[in-house]
Amino acid sequence: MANWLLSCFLTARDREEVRGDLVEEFQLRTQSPGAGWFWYWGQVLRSIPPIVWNSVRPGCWIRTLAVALAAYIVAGVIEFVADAALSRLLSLDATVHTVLSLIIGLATMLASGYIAARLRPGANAAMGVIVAIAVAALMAAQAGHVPLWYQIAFLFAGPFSVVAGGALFARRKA
Amino acid sequence: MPRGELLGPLEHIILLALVRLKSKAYGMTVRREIEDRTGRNISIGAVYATLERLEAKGYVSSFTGEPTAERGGRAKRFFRIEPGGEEALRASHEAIRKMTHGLKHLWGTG
Repeated sequence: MANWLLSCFLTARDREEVRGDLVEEFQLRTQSPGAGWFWYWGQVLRSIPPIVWNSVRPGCWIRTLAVALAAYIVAGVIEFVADAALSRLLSLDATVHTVLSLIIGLATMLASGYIAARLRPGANAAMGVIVAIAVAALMAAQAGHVPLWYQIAFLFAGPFSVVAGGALFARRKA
Repeated sequence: MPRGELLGPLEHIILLALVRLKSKAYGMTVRREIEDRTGRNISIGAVYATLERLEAKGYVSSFTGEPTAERGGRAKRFFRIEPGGEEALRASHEAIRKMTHGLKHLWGTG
């Protein structure tokens, strides 16, 4: 799980070497007491921010941010249109409608992450951060309008889908 | 190194680690060298991010080694300091030496 998470943020070039370094040091550390999975997970989680920042900043970071923002806006429009069509065409139970909205939303995020990564390396990571901030802001602004489980699910699964979309592109490219 | 541009603290430390490790410098050894000498437990991601930045500036170069069993069959990526990196290191050291001249009483050494 930790390896997979790290792979989502690494370029194809770095993936094997970084994971190899972690595995090698993990083997050394597990020979001494008090070290192990806690250290491994700590390394993985603390590695993500510098890797994301490094992938965003080459060339012109503002372009990466612009691609990420554009992908986020397009995803938002698609999601809004799909949600409106769902309400108009089908008379669904509120819970079923919310579940379908969540599935459409996450699929849109996955596709947007894929396209953002294709347009500019690192744009999917930047978009993941934008999605997390936007969902947190929306949660604070309109608490009560949407079920809490939906908001929490989107807070975690939204950025995850965007990053997974980028990882899918990286895998296909490799 | 462009005139007036100094190395960042992590860039400086990582270049020094490459000088110390010579032909044994790859992600894990660089990370451990820094932790052993400075006590800073930096992440492997920060090491690679900095090394790639240094590589883009032409201060270091890298090449892929052979896969080994203790790494689960994964290869190592070795890093080597280039003349531009040595020059940048010297320039940063010189700037620090000049700025700390006469201030040694502040940290009580030599």
